[in-house]
Amino acid sequence: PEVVRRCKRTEMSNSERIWKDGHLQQRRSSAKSSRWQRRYIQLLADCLRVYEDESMKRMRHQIALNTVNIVEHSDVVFELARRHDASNTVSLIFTAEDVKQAAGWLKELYWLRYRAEGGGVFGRSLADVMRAQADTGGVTDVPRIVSECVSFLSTETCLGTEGLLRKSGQKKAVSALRLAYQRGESPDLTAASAHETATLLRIYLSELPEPVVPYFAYANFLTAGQKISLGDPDTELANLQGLIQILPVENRNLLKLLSCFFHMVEQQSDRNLMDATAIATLFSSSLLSDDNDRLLVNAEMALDPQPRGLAVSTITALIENYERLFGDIEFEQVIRRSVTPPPPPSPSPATLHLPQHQQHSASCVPTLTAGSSASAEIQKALSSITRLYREKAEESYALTRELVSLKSRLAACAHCQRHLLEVASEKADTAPPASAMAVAAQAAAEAATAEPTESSCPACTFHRSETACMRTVIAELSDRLRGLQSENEALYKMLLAFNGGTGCGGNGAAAGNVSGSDTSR
Amino acid sequence: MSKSVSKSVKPIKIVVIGSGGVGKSALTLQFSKSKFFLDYDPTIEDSFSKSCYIDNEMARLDILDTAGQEEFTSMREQYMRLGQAFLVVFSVTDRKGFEEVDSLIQLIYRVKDREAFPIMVAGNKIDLQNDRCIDQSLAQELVQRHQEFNPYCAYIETSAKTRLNVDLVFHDLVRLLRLYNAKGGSKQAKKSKCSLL
Repeated sequence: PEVVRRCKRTEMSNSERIWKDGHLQQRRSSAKSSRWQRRYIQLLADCLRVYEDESMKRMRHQIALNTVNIVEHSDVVFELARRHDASNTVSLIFTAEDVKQAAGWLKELYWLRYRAEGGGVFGRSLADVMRAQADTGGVTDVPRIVSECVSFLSTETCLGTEGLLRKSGQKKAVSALRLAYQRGESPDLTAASAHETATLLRIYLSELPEPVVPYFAYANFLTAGQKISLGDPDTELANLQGLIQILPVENRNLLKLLSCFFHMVEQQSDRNLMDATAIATLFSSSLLSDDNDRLLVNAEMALDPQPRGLAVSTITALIENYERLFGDIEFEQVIRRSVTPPPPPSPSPATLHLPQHQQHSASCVPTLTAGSSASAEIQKALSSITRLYREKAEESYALTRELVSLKSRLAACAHCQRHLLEVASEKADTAPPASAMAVAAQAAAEAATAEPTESSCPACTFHRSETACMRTVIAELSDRLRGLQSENEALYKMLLAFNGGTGCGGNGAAAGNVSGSDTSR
Repeated sequence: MSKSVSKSVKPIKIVVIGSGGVGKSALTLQFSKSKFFLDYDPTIEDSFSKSCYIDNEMARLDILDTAGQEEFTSMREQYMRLGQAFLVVFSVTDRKGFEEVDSLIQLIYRVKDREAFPIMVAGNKIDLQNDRCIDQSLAQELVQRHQEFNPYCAYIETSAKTRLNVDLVFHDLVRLLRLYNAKGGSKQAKKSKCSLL
């Protein structure tokens, strides 16, 4: 029956994409006396369907999302409340098993309900948000929530607040702001304090499904950071600059805006006490981290201090060398396009460092244009290598993820563990839980060796055959990954050579080499 | 010789929690290293250990100093599971940090699945009398509310800068834990489940 149901579901998804499905406790909110019922729920792009059970024979409700508002009653209870102008529909209340499940549903619901209005951005990928923003005619460089928070936080009074970005805002106020952004509204940030806005920004960034520096570039950024802290910052900064260039445009823009903003905060560290390292520590896991850090769900995986330290020093370098790495004032203007009128031109440190920017970008641009005019071919080759590199890096990263998830699934199929535990506890009826665990572990070990036992659980038999498949897939994937990684390394070296070349004003020989090898590909 | 003594003692896992910038690290460092560090560096996670005699009994403390920012909450529940005693810190100069205290204590009960657990609440930075916005009575009141069902909860005012009550807060926490263990705390009734079921 399991398999049949799966097939049915995939057939369905061909015609209409199912964004999320699963079981929730549900009742109608109009009839206070109505009882909670466990229902099977499907979320489609524009509606939510409530079925009696997973067989989907009887549909109890179908709610068009644009006729309801989402109301959160607690961590696990939320309501799809009928809008006043909508007739012909009901309000339903749902209860999830835990906070995590509720958050998963709410994330999708907010996105599908409010994306057209520029909401539902929390937990959504940068690419999704930017696409939606472009569709609705919003700002096109960074997510609206970030640009609004940053423009408020970079006002003179906020920059001078002690512990800016570090201290937490009042919880209620932060959730109110969050809700407003989820609904696509533009809350008045000036009514909240700097700490609330900063907390909102921190939470938004930490909930991005991928750090601002995407996973595929993580390792290279970390290496660059390490080299900067070890010495010869000049060449290494050029490397870092090259790495930033190969990021997808939405990530690059966001990284740039944030680095600029952090740089401004750091400039006032005598008032707000936040130096670059302090800021980097707070944001390192949202800006630069790998899976293990962010998805720290499995208990044993503690933060590895070493890569974390490197990530912090890399971000510190980004902040401290903002002018050299990004050097232009365009983003300053974005930030200054503020909610409140811009501060009067007083000789404060923040306005004082503006001219430096101008100077720097002025001296920077000519060398770049000179380099590109010297050889358009170099530029062409560079962009093609960049593209190739990004593709390969993304592919190998996707492979790594797939491998990791496969391996963890192999290690622990939650269902089987639970089932085995039940079997074991039945066996050792009166035994204390510790020994039951031991029996279960033993049973699990037996199952893992794929000995076909007399277990009657269909899921376990299914799982066992799946495990065998997974092992072969893992072996294949590992091979492919190794191949990709070596290819990638070669490409990366090429890129670095290239960046070094253009950095010195277009080294003809190096460029020739690279373009030559590029065509040979 | 003292080393062999401390080796034989099982370490006590103490977890320090609280909002950002209230002085968790300052308290921990003042206790373990007897220093007040002036730098203003946020913590992701740090651990320290210290052995000392408390009421003529050796104690080895493993202190876990944690991040105050809420987006690290996924980590928070994990280390909470390992903690045997908790130090909840707020700053008497920071209203928002104080508002957080109650929900943090609730979180401890939830993660530990217990109604009572050794918890010290520390009102830090009392050297900054001029900036003070949380009265002692206000904090006392909060802790008394918890004491009604959790006898292993207490409040103390500290200053990491002047080292006021720094040793006392950790020692008292160990005393609470000993009391809790002596009363068979770990076997105490689990939090009552939902009454509807």
